Amino acid sequence: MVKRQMRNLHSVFLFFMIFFMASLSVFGMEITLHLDKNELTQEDQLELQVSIEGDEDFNSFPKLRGTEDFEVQSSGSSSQMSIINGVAQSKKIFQFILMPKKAGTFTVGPAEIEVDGKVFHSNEEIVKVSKSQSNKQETNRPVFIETSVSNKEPYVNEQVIFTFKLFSRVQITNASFEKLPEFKGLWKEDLQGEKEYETVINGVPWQVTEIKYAIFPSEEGKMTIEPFQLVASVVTTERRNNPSPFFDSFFNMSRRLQQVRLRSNPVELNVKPLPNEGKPINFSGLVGNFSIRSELSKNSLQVGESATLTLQAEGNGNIRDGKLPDIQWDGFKIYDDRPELNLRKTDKGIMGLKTIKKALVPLRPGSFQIPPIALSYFEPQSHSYKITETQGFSLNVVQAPQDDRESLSLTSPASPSNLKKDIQVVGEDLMPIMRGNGDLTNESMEIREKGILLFLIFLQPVLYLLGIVLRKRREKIFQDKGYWQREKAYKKFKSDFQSLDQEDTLFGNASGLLKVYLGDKLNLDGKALTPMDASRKLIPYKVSSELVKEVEEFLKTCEAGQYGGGPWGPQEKKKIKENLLTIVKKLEKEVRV
Amino acid sequence: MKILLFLILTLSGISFNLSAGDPPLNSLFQQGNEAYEKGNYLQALTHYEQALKKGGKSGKLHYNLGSAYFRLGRIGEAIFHFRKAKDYLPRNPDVSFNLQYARKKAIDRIKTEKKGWLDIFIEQIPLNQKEVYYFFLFSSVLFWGICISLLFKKNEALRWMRLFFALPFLASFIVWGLQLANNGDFGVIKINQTGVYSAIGKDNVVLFYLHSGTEFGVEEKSEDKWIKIVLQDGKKGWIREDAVIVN
Repeated sequence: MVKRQMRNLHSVFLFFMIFFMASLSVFGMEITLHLDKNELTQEDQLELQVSIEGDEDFNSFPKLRGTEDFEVQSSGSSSQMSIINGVAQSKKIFQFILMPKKAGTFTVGPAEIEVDGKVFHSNEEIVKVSKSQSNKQETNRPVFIETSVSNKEPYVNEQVIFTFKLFSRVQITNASFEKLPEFKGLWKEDLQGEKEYETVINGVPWQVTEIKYAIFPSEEGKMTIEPFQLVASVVTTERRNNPSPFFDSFFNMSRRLQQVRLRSNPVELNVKPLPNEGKPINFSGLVGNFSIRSELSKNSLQVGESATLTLQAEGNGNIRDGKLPDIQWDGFKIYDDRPELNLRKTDKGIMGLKTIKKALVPLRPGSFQIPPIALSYFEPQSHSYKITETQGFSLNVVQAPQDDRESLSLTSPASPSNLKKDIQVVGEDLMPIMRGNGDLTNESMEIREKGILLFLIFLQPVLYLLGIVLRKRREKIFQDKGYWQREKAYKKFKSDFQSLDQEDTLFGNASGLLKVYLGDKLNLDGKALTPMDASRKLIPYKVSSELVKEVEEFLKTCEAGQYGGGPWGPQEKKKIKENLLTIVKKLEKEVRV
Repeated sequence: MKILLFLILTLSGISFNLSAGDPPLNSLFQQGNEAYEKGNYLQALTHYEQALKKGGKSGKLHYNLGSAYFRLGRIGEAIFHFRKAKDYLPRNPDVSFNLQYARKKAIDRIKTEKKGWLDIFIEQIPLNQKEVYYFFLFSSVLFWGICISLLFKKNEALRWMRLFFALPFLASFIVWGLQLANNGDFGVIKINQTGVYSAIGKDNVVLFYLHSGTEFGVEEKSEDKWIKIVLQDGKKGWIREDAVIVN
């Protein structure tokens, strides 16, 4: 007996053990984080591996903690399933590439994975990222990139040359930008396409690919040009392990492509504001080196004729944004033409020539000295504002002869000329301003005015609909003589009911009121209706049999009261009145004509 | 009856407002004109802006203000006020000319697809908002008045008149609807150059730069003084409120 009990206890224990082990199997996940190195420079990349082993299959992707200071890219995953002694084991490896954003010591990890609502954590790793290496160390690598700017502390709108260089001493293929920097807060112009040349560093020839941009900071303050990121395949050659005795050494080499990811340094700029000290009132906004020249098409002309003044500003800098000086001279009307811009992109930046033509129309005769025209700009080299000037001119204006038109008409042919010429526009200007008194508010509309107008507009279709209803009613009254009587029956009853007293005549009057109402409603002579007639007449109008009976009973009661006499108390009389009102209200609802 | 009384009172309020002259407004306008004629554009601008602040809402005022801004080289504000002037004075050739002229000075060129016939039609409507509303009311009174009369009196002449007045009524209804649908906010860049960002804040990506005089539609105004704009070619982005002038 005891043995049997022990055996039962064993089987229960075994069952619990199996159940317990089965429940533990969820916790049998092992997650490991592994790095290929723990020390690197800012340009290096780190290979991170997360391996997850366990007897549970899962589909979730691990989360990496502590990678905020790195750019993380997944570089693939592999999985493996094995069954040992009937137990399934799965192993998954996730690979990542980490590129540091800055120097410092960082804790990478843990990697986390969630399986069946439980989160498993891996180990953590310490990584030390040192600052960029010098070029000497860079040259130890087969490929590297370098970015630089011509000036790290430019002024707002000053032209800065940004240079990107890809150095390689091995053969590379399929090079492409994975990430181009955002030139945030900068205006960028491409200066040239890719330029390729060879250079020698420490006696080693390097192939260089160079790209240049002209950048113009549009705001003051510190700004960073984010790194360029490039992916390329490096061609490497290896000697075969079992060289063929029949072929020469060339055929014993195997060629292999190895993908590399390169990243440039971020470039920091400290953009200075243009100084307020010495800033000319009519500052053109130009920053760089500029010159201005002018040319006048003729030095002598008549009043009303026009001479063309050509102004040309040329220089190295933000010529696109610069404004050429406005001119206003007494005795002349000046019309501006649209400025023309010619940009020349060189290695040294953007050179530009801005030309504007102005038509000068003299208003009176005389000898005029045209003053020099000044262009102000900021010169970053000398940290000061400069003014460059054109030469002055003298202009002789003579009065147009009065008899010009007459003499022309004498010599012109009488018939219209066939040789018509297009009118040449020599200047443009705004139309004159509007003068005159008047209310300066009457063209606008307030919301209130709009609301009222819309109300009036949309009231009209409503009135039209009301008109339709009114017309239908009129037509009905016209076609159906009893319509009006029917419509007014209840109103008439109500007014007569008010004057119904509780005297002895009450029964006769109440019965009369109901009969008149029925007569009006059913379009017949109501006064002659007997209780039986009333009920018979109501049946075709689909009035409920209860109501028909009520009407008949009421009329009979009234007749009994009227002719039978008897002592009727005020309570009974009051009830008669109430009954009458209730019956008529019900009839008003139920009788449909 | 009460509604009728309210209407009479409100309408009389409007007519009072319309007929009440505002001497300071007119004198500011005149002072602005005199300063402009003398070439004191900055002074003229100050007078016109004051008139605008005092409630001046007219095509003349916006037109002169636009001219003063233009003379001072502020193309953005000039285009804005010429556009406002055109809203009030759509048939005035000088306003159209000045707007075209100022637009030529804008730096940015925005590639737009060929305009649809509807856009061209809306642009060509030769009526301002007030005229459209009164035209709608007038044609509506005529059309519905005749319709209501026909309900009670059959008359062949009235039938023909109803048909005749249905056309201006329908036209005014369509024009009113189109103007209502096309009455979105607009703005113009007023500073030399400004960045348009992908979201509110200077920390975001600069999508493109715009220059003085570029016009845009306003999609959204945020409380942080940033505006979501849309260009004619469909480009969108956020821009600082102090770099633009919007209605």
